[in-house]
Amino acid sequence: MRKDKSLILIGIIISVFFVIVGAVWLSQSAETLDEVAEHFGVGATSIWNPPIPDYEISGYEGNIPMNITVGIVFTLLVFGVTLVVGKGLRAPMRTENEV
Amino acid sequence: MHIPDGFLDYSMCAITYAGALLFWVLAFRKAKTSLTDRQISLMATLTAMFFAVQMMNYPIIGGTTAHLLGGPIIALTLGPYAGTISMTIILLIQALFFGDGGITTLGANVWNMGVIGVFIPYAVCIAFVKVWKSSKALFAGAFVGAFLGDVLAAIFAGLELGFSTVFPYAAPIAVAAMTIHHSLIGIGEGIVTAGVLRILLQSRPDLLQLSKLTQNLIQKEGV
Repeated sequence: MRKDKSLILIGIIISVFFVIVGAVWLSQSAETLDEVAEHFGVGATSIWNPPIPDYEISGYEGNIPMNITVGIVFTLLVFGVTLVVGKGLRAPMRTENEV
Repeated sequence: MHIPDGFLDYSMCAITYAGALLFWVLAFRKAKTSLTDRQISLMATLTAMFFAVQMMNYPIIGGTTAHLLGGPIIALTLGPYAGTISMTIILLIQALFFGDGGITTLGANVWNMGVIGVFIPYAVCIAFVKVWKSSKALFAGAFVGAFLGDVLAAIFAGLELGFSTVFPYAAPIAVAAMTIHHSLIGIGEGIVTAGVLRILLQSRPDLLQLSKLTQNLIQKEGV
């Protein structure tokens, strides 16, 4: 159990590292599909206005500490959502010994 | 590879949603009987990690950038059904909060990255192990599987775009544009997948969801 907690902690630390690297050095996104679409004048027509478009809060564009905070918060949210979904999925009485 | 709203015809959106729905049902049923508490913790950790990884855009060719997907690693460590669930959570949060990928195109994105990008690497890796029966085949299969998973996902994305009237390309042009760049991404995905699989096999093989054949190989040869 302690080993599992260490693994989770290491995973979260590595994730935070990825978020920082992504926000500071590798934040410029120019995906193939977006570039080709732009070249031919095809635009996305969103039916939903996302609260944090392009991973940046409105008014804080280019603010690296804010982008890192957003990245970390949502990485933890993804962790939490997956954990809840996974626990919800699991058969009620299933234990390690059954595997 | 995230297709935004407006790039696909509604008929294409419906077809891909139907395909994704089929795998969602399968994935939730299978994961229910196969995942343990410890694997759920690993699944949550890997899902969070690959959400973060997808924020790192590295330059490839022609001024474009790419990022790893992570589906192959989750599929090979926890099985393809857990992989589909993980990728769906990532894609849903990206679409809802960041506008990375669309709502109408969520089915297509899940089909490309959460089904093709997950089941192909798993199937290829298992096939390698069955044919060559060695631990080297496991890592070679992980590399080739991850590569093919990325490339095939790109081909599917190209086909979906090419057969949609709103995108002014014939399917071959769209497929070629997507495939060339994603071949490079696939090489990176393959190297990372094989590397992470090796680390996990050496450090925590107990957490992995591997076939009996693979488990026997690991016991026999050591990794």
